[in-house]
Amino acid sequence: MNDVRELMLKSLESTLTQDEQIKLKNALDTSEAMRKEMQDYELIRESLASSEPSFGEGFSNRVMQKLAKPQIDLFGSFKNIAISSVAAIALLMISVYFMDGSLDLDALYGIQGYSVEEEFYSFLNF
Amino acid sequence: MRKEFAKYSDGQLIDAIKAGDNSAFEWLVENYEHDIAKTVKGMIGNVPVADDVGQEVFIRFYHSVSKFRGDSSLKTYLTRIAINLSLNELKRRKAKRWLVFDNDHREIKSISDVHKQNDINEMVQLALSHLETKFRSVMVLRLMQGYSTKETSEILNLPQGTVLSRLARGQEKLRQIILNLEKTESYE
Repeated sequence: MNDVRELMLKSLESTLTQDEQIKLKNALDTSEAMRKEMQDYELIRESLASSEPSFGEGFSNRVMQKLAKPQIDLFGSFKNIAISSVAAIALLMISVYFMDGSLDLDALYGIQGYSVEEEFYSFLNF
Repeated sequence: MRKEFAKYSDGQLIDAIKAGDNSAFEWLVENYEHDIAKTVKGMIGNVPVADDVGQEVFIRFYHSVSKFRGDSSLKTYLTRIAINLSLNELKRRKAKRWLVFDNDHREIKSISDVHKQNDINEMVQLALSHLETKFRSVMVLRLMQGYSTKETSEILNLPQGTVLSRLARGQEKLRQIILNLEKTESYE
């Protein structure tokens, strides 16, 4: 940012020192481009300060209606189900480990220590 | 009863809302919707979704009213929520910038040369929507909302020096965007 531009913008936000004021005044007096640029900044600030956007009629009613609607928290519900499921699986695996001393597939199926025939019969009976 | 709320301090109004007085909350919405509209529409533009973001600001506030400790004013607190939700909306949109700006001042041009006041306001709003978010948030709070540099720095959680430099750079960029828009218009 050049010095004069910096002074222009600074003058819009705060008071310049006497030296700065003189420097800015000289620049504005001698350059039409600088004068126009300064006018532009003033115009932009004026325009922004005067803008009055609104949400339109009945905004507070829309807020109150939205507030009255029950909020469905899908993620929250899913989170609870997920936590319960993980806890149930963890409990199951701990109990299998204490009963069979292992977490291999046979232990998880509940057929550890059986022969092939016994496993077949237990499958048929099941 | 509702007129009474105007006499309430922020703390009293919050207490009434916490106690379940919906008319207190409705009064708060009516009282601050104008300020929130300035922030939200300044940040994301005058688009239909701005209304939803505005509603969400108040809904969020309502649900987190117990967290309001009164360290800042209600307006500042609501503005902070509005800025955060607007930034989320902007991230979600990820609007593509379609303008290519140059910083080359080949012509001596002035915004007021071509445009009437209404056009200027529209042009400034349009240009604002093309300004980088970090500059836009400072411009909206400082120049549209009229917050002081200190308040702006508190809302955005930035040092005051950063706010001042972004403000200066923002104005410079905004002017450049307007001149570019003007150039684009004159080609059409």
